[in-house]
Amino acid sequence: MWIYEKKQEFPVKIKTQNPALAKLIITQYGGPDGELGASLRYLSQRYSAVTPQSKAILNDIGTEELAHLEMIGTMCHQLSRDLDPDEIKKAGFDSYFVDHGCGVYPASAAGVPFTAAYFQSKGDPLTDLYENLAAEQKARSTYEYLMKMTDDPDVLEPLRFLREREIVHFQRFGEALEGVREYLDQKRQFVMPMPESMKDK
Amino acid sequence: MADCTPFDKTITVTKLAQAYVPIQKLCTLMEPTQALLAGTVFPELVDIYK
Amino acid sequence: MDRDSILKRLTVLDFLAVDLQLYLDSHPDCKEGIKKYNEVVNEADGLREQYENLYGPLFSYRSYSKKDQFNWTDDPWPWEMCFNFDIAEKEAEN
Repeated sequence: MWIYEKKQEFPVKIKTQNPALAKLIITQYGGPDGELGASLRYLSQRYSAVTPQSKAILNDIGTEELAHLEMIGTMCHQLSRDLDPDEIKKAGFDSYFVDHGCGVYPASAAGVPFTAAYFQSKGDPLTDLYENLAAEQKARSTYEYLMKMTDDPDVLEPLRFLREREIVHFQRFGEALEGVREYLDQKRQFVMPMPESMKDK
Repeated sequence: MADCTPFDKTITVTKLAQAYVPIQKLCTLMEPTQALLAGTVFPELVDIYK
Repeated sequence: MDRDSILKRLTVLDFLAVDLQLYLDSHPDCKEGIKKYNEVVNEADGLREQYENLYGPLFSYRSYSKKDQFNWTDDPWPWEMCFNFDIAEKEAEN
């Protein structure tokens, strides 16, 4: 189950509003390669994982992505506070604003609402891990594109942190992949007995 | 710790049509506050952008 | 230590624990990793208690409620500006 700790994983303190930037950063909240998708992907895949290590990794990275979701939501909230209508129009924030005001809503930068179609949970332990490797790269690229869109150090610091986390997650999924491959190849002995359904693969 | 390499430069490939990621080995850890700023406590995983 | 300093150190330690924990998920036999992880958790525990005594509960159903009012609900919340400390007293900008 989940416990909430009342603090951020990485501090978010953005002194300058920038609704145009909020409109872009929201894509890591509810967009195709964002943290909500990542979190649901890994937490859903957990159930059909086969090795204790890969179950742990899916569980723990899925959980960390929720913390990242909170950071992104916080960034969008702080970037879009206290705006007047002229600022809103000038920033191209008006189409988001009429549907959500200055609230936070899971959608992509283009305004497409979040959908489970953004991720897969295939029930096949190898396929799922390959999906996850790709997902972490997509997220890394997205953070790089977002970082190109601003010079504000208050925004760049959390983005830089989040980008590096994607690289670390990729490494962990890669290690999980090796463990699952060994398990399925039966090259090692594992403490966990192989379930009947996995024999004779 | 002098000769610690954080990963093996050769990978044992057991079959085709698979992707292989080298396994990390623990060597050194970053200073704590630097680790938070960098986004990881493992210096070999740091990839600086720009 | 003032609030920002305690929160900063706690944030740093908890992050270390998370990154180490993820590493230990795929390296469960790494004795050195486990030792470092336990050291971090130990220091974080002490600091967490200090923070909660001074500034209120960090958990909604695990932390003691030490005042007459249930101050879990107190402002500020983590998504608000004033909750967060400045990370950028830069020791070394890369």
